[in-house]
Parts: sequence; structure tokens; C-alpha cells
Amino acid sequence: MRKNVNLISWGLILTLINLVGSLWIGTLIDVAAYLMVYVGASRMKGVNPLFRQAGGLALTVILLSVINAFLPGDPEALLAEMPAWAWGFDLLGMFVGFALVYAVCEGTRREAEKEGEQELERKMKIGWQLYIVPSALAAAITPFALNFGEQLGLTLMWLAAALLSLVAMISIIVGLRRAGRDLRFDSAGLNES
Amino acid sequence: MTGKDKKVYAILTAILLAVAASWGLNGVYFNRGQLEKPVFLQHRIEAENGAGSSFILYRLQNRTDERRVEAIELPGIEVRGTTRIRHIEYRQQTLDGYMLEIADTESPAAKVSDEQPIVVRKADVRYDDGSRETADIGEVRFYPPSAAPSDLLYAIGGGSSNRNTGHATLEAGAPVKILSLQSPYLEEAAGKLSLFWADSGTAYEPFDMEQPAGDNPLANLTLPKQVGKKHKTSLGYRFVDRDSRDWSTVYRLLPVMTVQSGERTLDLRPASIEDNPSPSESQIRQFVRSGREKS
Repeated sequence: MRKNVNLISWGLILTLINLVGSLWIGTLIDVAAYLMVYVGASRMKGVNPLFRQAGGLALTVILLSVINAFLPGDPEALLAEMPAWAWGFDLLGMFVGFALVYAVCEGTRREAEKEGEQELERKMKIGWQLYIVPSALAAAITPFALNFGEQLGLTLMWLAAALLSLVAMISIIVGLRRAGRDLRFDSAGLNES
Repeated sequence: MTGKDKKVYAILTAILLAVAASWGLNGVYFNRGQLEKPVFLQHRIEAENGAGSSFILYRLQNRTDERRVEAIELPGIEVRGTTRIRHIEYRQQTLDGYMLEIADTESPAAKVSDEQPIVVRKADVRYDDGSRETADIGEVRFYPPSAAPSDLLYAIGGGSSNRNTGHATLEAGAPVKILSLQSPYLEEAAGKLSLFWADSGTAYEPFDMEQPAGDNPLANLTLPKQVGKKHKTSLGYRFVDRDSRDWSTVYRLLPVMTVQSGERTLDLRPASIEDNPSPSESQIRQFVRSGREKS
């Protein structure tokens, strides 16, 4: 089971270090990363229904990443240069990504709660909350750049939100590594590989 | 799915809706600030139809429009070259000034007179991707070129400021009396343009520069004016917008000065009066929106 949790955490690490996410090679890295999350989560579907959901969400993210690679225009395009329907895909991808992080965090938190690992339980709970608030804020701020340009206040707010979101994701990954080390994941229907 | 999961997914959905609303509203606001197609400002230009003559046409284009203007052509006029000499970036548009240099031509279309100038109201724009479009430019009046610079009164310099003021410095080759100054656009420019003699050499401020231009652009221009041999005089000008949309009408006057020297009386065009539009971000936005409402 440790291997599966590690697969999920390595998948998430890969998405973090994928600095060329908008290029073709970046799409391939993303697909590989979410495939790892999918495989890890799918193998843990018997542990907790949230991991089954995480598997499905990871597959959706893979599908959206592939579609995104075929969206018209420059992959580095600003929102201004993208058609409205491409915005829809971006939004959907963002939402599914948030839901995936929730499923992984909450699934792990519940297992920690079951096994009396209170510190880990708290870590996953706070990690998720710390992640979703700045991530949603950054997502909401992004389109304001269309109309108000690179204003210092907006840019700083976006950078602060993105940085907080990154820190939260690192904290979640650290929590997952710890879960792989400390939790037994011995729920019914265990699907150890 | 537990009740808690449902609650979290409901919150996630609310977040999605809030983010989607932010994207959607920003998208609508952005689209309302986009020009449907590039537009020229409304020009009121006087120019000579001959080699050495040049003037600037201003054009507003969306920043998302990646096409670049390669040439601007005027029907019936031989344009030697198009050079972008001004470029102002706004949030969603760019305002570019293209200098058109007129070629020397012997074609029949070039036969013009002061009384019946060639008037051009449309321009053909050629882009770097090979596409073309015809657009309204306002009005450019082409006069016959001067045979040679007059030795009676001629320009020796000039300048302009970022407050849309400027001057043309003239020198007299012989004692002259400037009797009058005329341009077909003076009446239309009333309230926006003020002309004055700026002979102090250092300032254009013979009157309060902040006051609105009067109804008569020549009110501050004392005529007739004597200029001694080898003496200089400066014709100063100032453009002040009459309202927030006034910047979009651009003047370039080549007024006729009636000059007397001894028994001789001549009509000359030694000075040009150039309007330099520098609209604000909000003026550009207002211009784009009113253009969309009209169409």
C-alpha cells in the first residue's frame, strides 16, 4: 500500500515540478503524473471510496490535459487569445483538479483518523484547506489581468495566492509520504499490490 | 458519498461558479472593449501632392490583432512609403501613427489646383499576412506642390510639445507683411485650435494656456504682421479638446498665408500645424464602446 501512496505523491510532485506545463512535453509529463495518481488511487479503491473517486478524477484530468494540448492558438496564449469554449475547458480542468486534491487529502485523512494518527489527520485537513482557498483565489484573480493589466496589486495578490497554494501542496505531499510510511490502510477490501 | 463529501463538493461547485462568474464577467467586459475591426481616426489633413510631402495617419487596432500594417495606399495618390512613427499601447488597443510619404508624380490624377484639390476619404491597408481592407480615414486634401520654396517667407524650423502645442519658425527673405491666414478646416477646428505669434523664442504663452480655445482660431493672431528682412517669426498653435471624444479628430493644417512684399502679393504655405492625439486609457475605452454601440 505504501507503494500506491508513494505513486500518488510522486505523481503530485511531478505536476509541481512540471515548469513547462503549457508545452507539448509538459502535457506528456502531466499525463504521466496523473497516470501515476490514477494507478495509485485505483489500487486503493477498496480502502476508501474517496480513492476510487480520485482515480476517476485523475482519468478526467488526463483526458482534459490531452484536449488542452489540441486547443487552438499559442499554448502560452493569454486568455485574451483563447476562444470562450477553451476557457470552459480550462475551468473544468481546474475544478476537477481541485476535486482530485480533495479526494486524496480527505481519503488519507479518514484513514489517519481510523488509525488514530491525529497529527497526520490534522495535517491533511489543514493541507486541503490551505490549498483550496489560495488556489480558488488565484483562479478568480487570473482573468482580471485581461482588463486591468499587470497592475502591481493584482500581480502581488496572485503571486501570494499561488505561493500559498504551492506551499500547501508541498505540505499535502509531505503528509502523503508520511501516510505511506505510518498508515496500514487495512480497511476491508484491501487491494494491496 | 457521505454527507460531508456532498457538502465539500457543493462548496467546490460554489467555488467553481464564483470562479466561472469572475472569468465570464471579465470576458464580457474584455469583449466590450474590443474593436470590431481596426479604425482610423477622423483626419482633417491638408498636404501637397508631390515629393517631400508627408503627413501622419492615426489608426487604432486591437492588441490581439497580430497583423502588421505593411502599407497604406491612397486612391489616386502615389504613396512612396509608409512608416510607423508613433506607437502608444493601451490595455486592449494600440494607437499607431503612420507617416505617409508622397511620391513625385506626373500622372493626370496629380493635376490639382488650390481651388479643386484632390480629396481622399478612404485608404487601402495592406497587412503583412497579405490581407487588405479599405477604411474611412476622414479627409485628406491634396494641393499642387510648390514649384520651389519661396524666398519671401520660408520655414526654418519648428517643434511641438506633449501638451499638443507647437510652433513653426519662419524667416523672411525680404521685408514682408503677412496679411491673412486661411484654411478650409479653420472653421471646423474652432473651439479646439488657437493660433498666435510666439516670437519670444522661449514660450508659447502669450495668453493663458489652460483656457479653452475661443470660437475664432485666429483671435489671438494679430494681422497684418510685419516681418523684416532676415527676421524670424514663430507661428504658435495649441490644440485643446472640446470634449472627451474630440481627440479622435486629428488636424494637420497647411494654411495659406497671403504675404505682401512691396508690390508683390503671394499666397504661400510655409507652415504646417500638426495635431498630436494622446488620448487617455478611459478615452480609448469610451471611443471603442461608442463605436460598438453605433454599429
